[in-house]
Amino acid sequence: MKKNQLNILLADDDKDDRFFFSMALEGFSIPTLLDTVVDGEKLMTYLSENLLRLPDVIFLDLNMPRKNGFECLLEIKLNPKLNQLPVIIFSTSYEQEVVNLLYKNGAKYFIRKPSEYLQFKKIVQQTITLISLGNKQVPNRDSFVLTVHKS
Amino acid sequence: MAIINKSNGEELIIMHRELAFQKEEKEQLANELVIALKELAFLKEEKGKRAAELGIANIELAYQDDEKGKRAIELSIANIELAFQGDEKGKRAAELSIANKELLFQNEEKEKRAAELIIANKELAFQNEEKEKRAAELISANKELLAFTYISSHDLQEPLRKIQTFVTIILENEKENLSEKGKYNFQRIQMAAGRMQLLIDDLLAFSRISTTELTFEKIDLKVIVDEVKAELKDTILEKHATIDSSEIGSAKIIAFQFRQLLYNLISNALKFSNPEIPSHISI
Repeated sequence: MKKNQLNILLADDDKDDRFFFSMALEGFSIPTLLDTVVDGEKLMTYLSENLLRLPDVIFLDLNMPRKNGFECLLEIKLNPKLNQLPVIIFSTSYEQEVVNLLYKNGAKYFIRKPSEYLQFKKIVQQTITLISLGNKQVPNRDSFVLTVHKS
Repeated sequence: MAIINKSNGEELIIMHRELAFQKEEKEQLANELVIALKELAFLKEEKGKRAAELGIANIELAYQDDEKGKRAIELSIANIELAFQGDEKGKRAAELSIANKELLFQNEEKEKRAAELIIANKELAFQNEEKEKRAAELISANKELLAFTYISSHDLQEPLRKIQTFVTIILENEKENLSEKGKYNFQRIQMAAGRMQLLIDDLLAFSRISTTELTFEKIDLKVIVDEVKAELKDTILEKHATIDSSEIGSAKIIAFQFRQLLYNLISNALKFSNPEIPSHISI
């Protein structure tokens, strides 16, 4: 792991989504290193085995086998060794109750996966840019749900 | 009687004695007669008294006889009356007996009807139970259907989104390699997928409304408005819209339905606003 690059961990059971994500990082101005795990259990194992070189940010899918995103988020936030990790929820569906609960449970941002590839790429890059700026504070409720900036 | 010497004297004395005795006897008899007469007079008097008493008694008797006669007449009248009443009573008794028979018959009929009613009631109760069972089954079937709708539309989102993403990747990255016809076809896929996404969103919203427990809670409306504003953030920015909701309090509402309502109202207001003028929405 190089010092100047951002280490990203993506937890998503969907092969296509992992493909889209890695594609979205191609040619990105910020150097990144992407690691992926394919379910919640593997995510928790990965974290416990890499306590000394934790990722800079986790992108977490909600619907995953064995351990879903909610459980992972709770475990991370309740673990003093992990609770500083920014967790960004990356989900297909948007439900207000779910979003409220995720905010309450300490997720950093919520992103609804866009269906258009360019939007997908933009939102991923925008979010990583935000993280790379080292914004450590808890976001307020208004900026919890991230959407693509029109440019 | 001179011839009678001594003896004649004796005879005289005796005769005298006899005479004195007879005289005494006579006096005695006279006395007795007087007494007897007195007795007789008394008896006569008594007789008179008794006769008078008898007379009175007779009058009394005659009176009593008269009264008796009267009573007999009254009795006879009363007897006639009684006989008449007896007759009437007999008639009534006969009528009563008929009425009783009728009543008995009606009672029997009533009991029969009651028995029939009990059977009918049991049948009804059974049918009701069956109906309730069917209703319960229907409700649970409906719930299952809604749950199924929710889950299936929820799960359909993911493959659809991926189709859309792949189509946009091809249109973006393979622009040069595609013929005009090929590009057109991909655009048609994109449009159809977009339409499908709208349908799925509607299905989801519908099943959410139907499956979610309807509970009223006292909620600060500002929270709901803020959530809707966050969801519509892009459109609000695009339309340069301002939403003023400073003067709303809290209300007892079904949160998700009210949120849906506000979402629909605000998004429609933004959609149909004049694009030349920045929109201003006051709630």
